[in-house]
Amino acid sequence: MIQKKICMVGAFAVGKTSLVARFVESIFSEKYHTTVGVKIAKKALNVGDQEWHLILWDLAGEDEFLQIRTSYLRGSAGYLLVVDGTRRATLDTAVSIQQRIVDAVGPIPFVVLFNKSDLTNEWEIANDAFEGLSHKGWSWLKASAKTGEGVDEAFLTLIAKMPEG
Amino acid sequence: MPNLPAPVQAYVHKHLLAPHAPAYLLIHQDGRLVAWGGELAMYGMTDLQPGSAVEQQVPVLAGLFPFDRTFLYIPCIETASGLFADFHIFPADAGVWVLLLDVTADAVQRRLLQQKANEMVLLQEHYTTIFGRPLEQDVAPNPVRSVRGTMMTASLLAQTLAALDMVVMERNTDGTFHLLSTVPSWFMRLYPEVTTQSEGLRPGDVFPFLEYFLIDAEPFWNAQDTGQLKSGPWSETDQDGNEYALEASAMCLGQHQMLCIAFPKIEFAEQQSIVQKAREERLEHIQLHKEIQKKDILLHCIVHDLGGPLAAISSSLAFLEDEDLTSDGREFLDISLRQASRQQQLIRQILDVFAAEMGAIESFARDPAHAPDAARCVQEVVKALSPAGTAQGIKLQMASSVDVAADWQVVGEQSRLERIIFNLVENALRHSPSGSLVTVALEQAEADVLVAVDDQGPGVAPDVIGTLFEKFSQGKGQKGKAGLGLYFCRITVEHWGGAIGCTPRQTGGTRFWFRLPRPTLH
Repeated sequence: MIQKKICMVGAFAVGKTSLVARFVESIFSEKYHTTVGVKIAKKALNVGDQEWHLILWDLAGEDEFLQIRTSYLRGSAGYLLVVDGTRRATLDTAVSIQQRIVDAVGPIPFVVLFNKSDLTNEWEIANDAFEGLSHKGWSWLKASAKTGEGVDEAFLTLIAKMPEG
Repeated sequence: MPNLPAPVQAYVHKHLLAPHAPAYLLIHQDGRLVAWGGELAMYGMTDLQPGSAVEQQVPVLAGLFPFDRTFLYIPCIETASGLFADFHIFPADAGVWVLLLDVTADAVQRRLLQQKANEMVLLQEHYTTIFGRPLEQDVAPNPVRSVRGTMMTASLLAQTLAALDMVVMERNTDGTFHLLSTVPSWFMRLYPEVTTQSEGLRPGDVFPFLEYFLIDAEPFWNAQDTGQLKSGPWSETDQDGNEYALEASAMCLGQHQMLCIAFPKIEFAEQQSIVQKAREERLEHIQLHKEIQKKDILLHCIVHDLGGPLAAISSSLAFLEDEDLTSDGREFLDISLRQASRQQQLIRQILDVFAAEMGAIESFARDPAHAPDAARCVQEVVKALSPAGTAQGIKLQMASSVDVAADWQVVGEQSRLERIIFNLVENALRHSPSGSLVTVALEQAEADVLVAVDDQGPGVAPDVIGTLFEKFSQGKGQKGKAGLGLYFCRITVEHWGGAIGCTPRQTGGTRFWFRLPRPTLH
């Protein structure tokens, strides 16, 4: 059994808590419920012939009122950098957070997750943004906590990047 | 017991000795076990071997043999079974006797008393930390009941902490914790083990968040820092799905390393409510902004489409000018051309505003090589609008004091700068009476250039002056068109780092002005 700590980080209201709820409990709520501090959840799953126990640290989103405490990332095997695809500015916030995480705990595996992919009419992220991320060597994918599309895949992509030891 | 009558001996044996589960060991001077008996099984000594070294089976006796004393009493030793025993050791001819007597009840009582005493001290110190004053200040002295009263206060404090939704633990040297406070019900739901166990607790194993906080707390405790180290809030969910927002803090009270876990329901709810409200409003604002942008784009499309046919109409009307028309027909043609021209200006204004708002005017010059010349722009506008002024009986002029050969460069972009001046002059002409004068002046300052349009009109009403540069704002009399001209001027000037405004003139009329910074070499 492999136990790992994974953090969810990003701007406020990008859907971090919803992604955890979808991944852990397969549920979704339209209502926005702000997270204060850290919310802990656990998820066990099998990847190949290995059993993984993930401890998910859902960190409060960042805005002008609250800034994430990068010290919470310590001991983390990886993190999901969540962006709201319908709010372009949340990508800038994610990039800023990623840099601060590197400064605080060094380069640990992460995946950029563009949430709310079901809201195609309101999508604000242009293709050149994705190309830019790929050019930087960042892994990214689109997902929707509402429909569940891409959510498991995001966590599995992150797991694949994490060392098993 | 030869001096005691048999009934007394029987009484002593039955009521004073037997309850203490006597057991014995007989040990050779070289430390080998010779014989044993009594209630040894109660002390966990069940697999004794004759001739074996006793210290391997009863570690407390290690190093005592050969026994060179007349008597040794070792009180209150915890045995393998968990019972506590007093060890009485004395030599005789056959060897060294070891008598064990159960004192578990006394030991538990002593430990409880010790714990209570420790709790009392700790809680008194914690009381001081929480309330900022010593407990003695709040407890009336009572010499007669001082001991009992103090014990009651410690108990009361333990319950008070629980009532305050606070769990207090002390860290042991092995890294485990023992409880000092009464455990609140919410904590039992999150950590059911505490209902049966108050010592040897490892909260980091139950709460992953605490596991990491305790890593931070350890150097804090070791440094014996004053104050407290707070974890920040985190949430846990019990088996029924109830969520608890908690916060831990580490502190040192003398030599004691304390861990407090609080469940600040009200404070957390307030904090969450404030952040939630602020963020909801922010999201609403973002959404509203998006809706406005969508409508602006729709408006732009409509206006742009209106402009296409209008251009064709204007061209066709222009061709009619070459036709042989009656005087009435020529008058109608003039009216049509004039109105078509006004319509085109209006459309251009709307599109200008849209372009400005959409950031299409991002490109502008800040350096002298490309910066526009304000005086030249004023000359162009005066030249373009003078015929219109003449038609209204208004004289339009550039102030005679302006030296056009001087350096009038400003930050901006030439065509937009001309548009700004054009709008201000056109606005002045529209509100000026026949026979009046409109003057465009320029003034230099160290860091910027002032452009001012002075008219001799009736002035701007005080109730609209504050909103004159807002979108869709119009002066009294509705002489404006779409209410976008001045708005366009403001957002463009501000975008270039300047300022715009209007002030009444002492001699009558109004001055509309704007300032733009001078270009710089860097």
